[in-house]
Amino acid sequence: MNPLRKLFTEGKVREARRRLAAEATPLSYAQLAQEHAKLGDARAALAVCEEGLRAFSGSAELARLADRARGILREGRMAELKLELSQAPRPALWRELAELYLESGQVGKAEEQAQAWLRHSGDGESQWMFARALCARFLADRGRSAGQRAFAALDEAERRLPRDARPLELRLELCGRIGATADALRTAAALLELRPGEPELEARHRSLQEQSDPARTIDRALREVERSGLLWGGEAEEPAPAAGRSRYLRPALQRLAAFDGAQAALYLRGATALVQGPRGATAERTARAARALLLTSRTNARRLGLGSLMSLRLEGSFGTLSVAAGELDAGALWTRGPLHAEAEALLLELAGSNADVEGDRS
Amino acid sequence: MKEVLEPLSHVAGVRLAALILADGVPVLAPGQARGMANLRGAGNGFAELEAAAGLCVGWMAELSRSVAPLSWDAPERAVLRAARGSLVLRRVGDVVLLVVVEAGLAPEELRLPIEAAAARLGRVLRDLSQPQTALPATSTSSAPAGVSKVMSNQRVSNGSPAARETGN
Repeated sequence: MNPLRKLFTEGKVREARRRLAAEATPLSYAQLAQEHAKLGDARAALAVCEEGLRAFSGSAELARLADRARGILREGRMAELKLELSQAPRPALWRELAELYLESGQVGKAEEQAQAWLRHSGDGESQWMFARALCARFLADRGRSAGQRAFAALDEAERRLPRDARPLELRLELCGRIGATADALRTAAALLELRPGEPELEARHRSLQEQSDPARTIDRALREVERSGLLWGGEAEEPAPAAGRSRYLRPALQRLAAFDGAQAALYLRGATALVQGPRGATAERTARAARALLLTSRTNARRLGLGSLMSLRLEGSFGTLSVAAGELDAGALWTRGPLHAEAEALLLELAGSNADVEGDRS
Repeated sequence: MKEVLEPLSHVAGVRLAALILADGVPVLAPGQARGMANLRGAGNGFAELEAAAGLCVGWMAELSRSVAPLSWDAPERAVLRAARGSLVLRRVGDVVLLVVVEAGLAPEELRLPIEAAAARLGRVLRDLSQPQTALPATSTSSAPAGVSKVMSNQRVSNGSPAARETGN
């Protein structure tokens, strides 16, 4: 940083400190953290955010700044590790780098690092890290082939680390997430042999004994997860639709339908749909077609290893059908001509709004 | 076909460019199979590509079935954008041009090269649909080796897309 600019920013840090000392509020903490961040001192910014969060635990702004500071620190450490790995590769560095990638949700990169480590050393620890990366990838993508690879890597990790509970714990978690209850029960029993008398594990074993369904094999469970995109018991985990948001939907759909050449605008969530444009049976047919498109596209994105669907666009003699998909809902627009950029932005707003449309159905 | 696919596969951001016949059999630019292997994370790129080609053709058929109740024709172009990349399928006659785009790159940015390739492909298919007796004797030998020859044979044995349409 330019020395003059640094001097100026340091003055601002002192000012922010004085303001914080005079009145400790989430805003004054956030301002001080921001001044530290401007100086490039992410560690100090994080310390200020953490201090602020201890006093004001509900502050969303401080939590956001803390996350950002952690991200900057993580990126810095990743760069250091990559440099170090290029000069003197060793297991501790690979492990830390792969864990940082997993922590930041970059499962593809975590997998790459774990694979490089596995190629280099071929020991049980590297195989364990590789299995962790593949499991994280499956949980993110929910594709069957990703799941099969994760289980194959876990088998190999168990073979290379025979008296280690970690691969079994991960297998138990994975089987539980996909609902392969019979396999989960077997894994819990194997874990109990390693750690007999552990109360939590025994309770888990008892509950799995009640749920065990031998017909739901790992392969069948993976197929089911790929088809639905939901993990076992995922329906119960779905966040409740936001009732207040539905009043924003109609105006948004009306604005979409008012674009030049727009034929129909839709909002889809579960089995319900709001349709702006067509009426009666045509509206029903349009909603059914959009829902079918969404379902098949979500499944195919997972099968192809592309992960979760974000958007879909179909073009043909009918015009353009654009769908923006959220995790649980979607917005769609059928236009005669190409899609307007403003309409695209509005569609993206609709997707992921997770609104309650039960009482407002077309 | 190779001449059409190869330039497209070298465009920055394109992970894979391939051609799929109506029955799901892939015809691809040499060396591109590893793009699919990376995508699905498996080792055997070509086997993965075959599976993916089948999935793509199946998906296109499902899309057509889904929009049929609206009296819409089958989509000419389908773009699927997902967390780990995008898939563009462009129907050219009876074949489908498949392009996998890197994550982080908008498929719309590649519309021009993809449409240009589709247009070139259309011309090649029209040429192939000409009666084989009318072709000069040297044209078969100068055709790209391997996959293109398979493509030519397919056309000869099954008839051209245009001829099939007329027949139906």
